[in-house]
Amino acid sequence: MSWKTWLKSKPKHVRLGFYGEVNAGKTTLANVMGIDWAGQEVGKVSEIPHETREIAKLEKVNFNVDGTNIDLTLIDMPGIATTVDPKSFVNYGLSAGEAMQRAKEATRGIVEAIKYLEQVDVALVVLDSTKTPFDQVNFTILGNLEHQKKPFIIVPNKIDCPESDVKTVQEAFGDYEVVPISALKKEGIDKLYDSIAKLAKKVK
Amino acid sequence: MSYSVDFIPEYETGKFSLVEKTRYILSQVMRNKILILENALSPEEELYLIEKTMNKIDYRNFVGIKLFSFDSGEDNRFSKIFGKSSKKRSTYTIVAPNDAVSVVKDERGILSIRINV
Repeated sequence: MSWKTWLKSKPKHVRLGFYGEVNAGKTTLANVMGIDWAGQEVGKVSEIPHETREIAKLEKVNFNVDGTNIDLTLIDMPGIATTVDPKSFVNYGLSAGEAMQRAKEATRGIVEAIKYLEQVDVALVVLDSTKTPFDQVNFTILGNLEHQKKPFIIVPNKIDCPESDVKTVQEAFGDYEVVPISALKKEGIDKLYDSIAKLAKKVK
Repeated sequence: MSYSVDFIPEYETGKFSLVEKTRYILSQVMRNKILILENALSPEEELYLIEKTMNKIDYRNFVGIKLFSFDSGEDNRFSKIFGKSSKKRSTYTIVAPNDAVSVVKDERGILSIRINV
């Protein structure tokens, strides 16, 4: 086999970043993808905010949809926030010391996630569809992805919840690719895979 | 706790570099000022401000900021804000200490700032 043929047969490598606000369900979604395509989870899920405080990666994920074979690296990012208050963790039953430790790790995680933005090839911006989509963090992330010309998909999550309002999200981001899902119930996941495959094909 | 509201005209921040502008904003906000910036921050400036805010958090007296940029357009669609279908972008940015304000935008695009005293 010539090196040119070998190069062509090699699956494209794409770094897929999971971005979004805190507790939007990024890790739940990353775990669904990890299990589906590599048989393992990416990170731990918790209802306590800032459970993901370090970037978690799952490499060599063999993603194959409609004949598109991609070597994915799933990169689960800490949720981005403008504030980190240890007091908010105490409400979830953490001791004062645990809350302080979590807050310190969370601030470091946010900085890491911001710095890593340049290194992702495709981003999934995960929103909590039960909340207003007009959170400034969402706009800030999307504006930066646009500025850096990174392809992205807006993923309103938690559509299985009665309070979910996908229509508002679709109206707010109507000019962009919006794929509603429930990572928990695995609804809309196949459509998301199709969209990821389409975007990944465009990555150089 | 008392807060003051400062309206910052464009000429005040327009002369600053990214680093200077961020330093200026954070120094004011950490003195319990609520800033309304006429020269709105770009998404890149907002992200840099969030990053630097994280470095300033001391977990007791300062736990972060409230940040809100809004546009002068007739609706609040993302495309109108960032100019995919038009060149319009945000015209004002509000930055405040986290505990100072609650900012709510209604369906008409009217922004209400509730100052917590």
